[in-house]
Amino acid sequence: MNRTEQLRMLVLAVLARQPEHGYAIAQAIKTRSDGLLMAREGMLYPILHELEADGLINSAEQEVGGRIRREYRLTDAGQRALGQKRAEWEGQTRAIRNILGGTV
Amino acid sequence: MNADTWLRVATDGLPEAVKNRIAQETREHLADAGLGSAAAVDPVLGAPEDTAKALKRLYLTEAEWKRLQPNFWVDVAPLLLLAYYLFFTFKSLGTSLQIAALDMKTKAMESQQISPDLPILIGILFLSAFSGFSLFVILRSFILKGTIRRLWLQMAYICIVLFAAFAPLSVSLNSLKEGLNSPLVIIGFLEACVGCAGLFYMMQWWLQKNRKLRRTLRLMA
Repeated sequence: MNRTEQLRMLVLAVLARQPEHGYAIAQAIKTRSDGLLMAREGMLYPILHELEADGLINSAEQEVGGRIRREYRLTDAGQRALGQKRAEWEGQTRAIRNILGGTV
Repeated sequence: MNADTWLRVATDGLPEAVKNRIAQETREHLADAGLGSAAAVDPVLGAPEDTAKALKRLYLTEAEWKRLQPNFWVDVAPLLLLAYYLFFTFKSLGTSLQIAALDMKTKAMESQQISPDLPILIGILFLSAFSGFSLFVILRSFILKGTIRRLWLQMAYICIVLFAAFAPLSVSLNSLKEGLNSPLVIIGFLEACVGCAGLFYMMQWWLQKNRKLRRTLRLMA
């Protein structure tokens, strides 16, 4: 899984909790990863657009406090894709942990 | 680098609808981050060139979009392509069928065998499949409208180029009778490899462009 795919998975995971707008998604990833992930927030929107085009999320403009914001929401297909990616990721990390654990 | 400069670099060469959506979302993002219009935004957003690259992978560029716009020659192209296929490709298919029939007759007269040679059969199957697919692409471009129609026409042009590249392959197939070491067979095999690689990459290119067009049209809707 490359960096872009990881970011796609993280975005889906954040949206699985509740619908969010772009900045909140970036902050959620940054906060939960102790600032390690989401260093380039400009890459977030191409990823959100791609996920939307793939039907994994959808978006709608909403007025909040006099400002128009686009809120993203996970779809059923996105929920299933997240489940698959999560299983794939857990398998990979388990395999790496087993190897690293053996050498230490 | 301030927000205006960052956005100009990140969305350079993209259609207006894409520029507007990215600009709107990025400005909202920066407002939430408490960054004013004069503030340096690259420490937060990263290099605009990386975003530009990602966006160009996702959407058609302005130049690609313009190439899919109405034009007289593009509009009459389906008729020309259809004429080409009806007169030349199917004539060629007819010739192959005649050769196969002649081959069967000769075999029947010589040794009572009535099955034509495998290479001739492969040639006929290949020509039929390719002609059928090309005809389907051309006829489909009549049904579709707008930019999607033009994208299907591009696929028809690809079929023409590939057909021209594959056409001598039938000669090589017939030369199989002379043995696998025949120069014509070796050349034919190499040509088939290059042709298959070309077909694979052209299909990849076309599918990617099709996806990009659909995403771009969604933003324009």
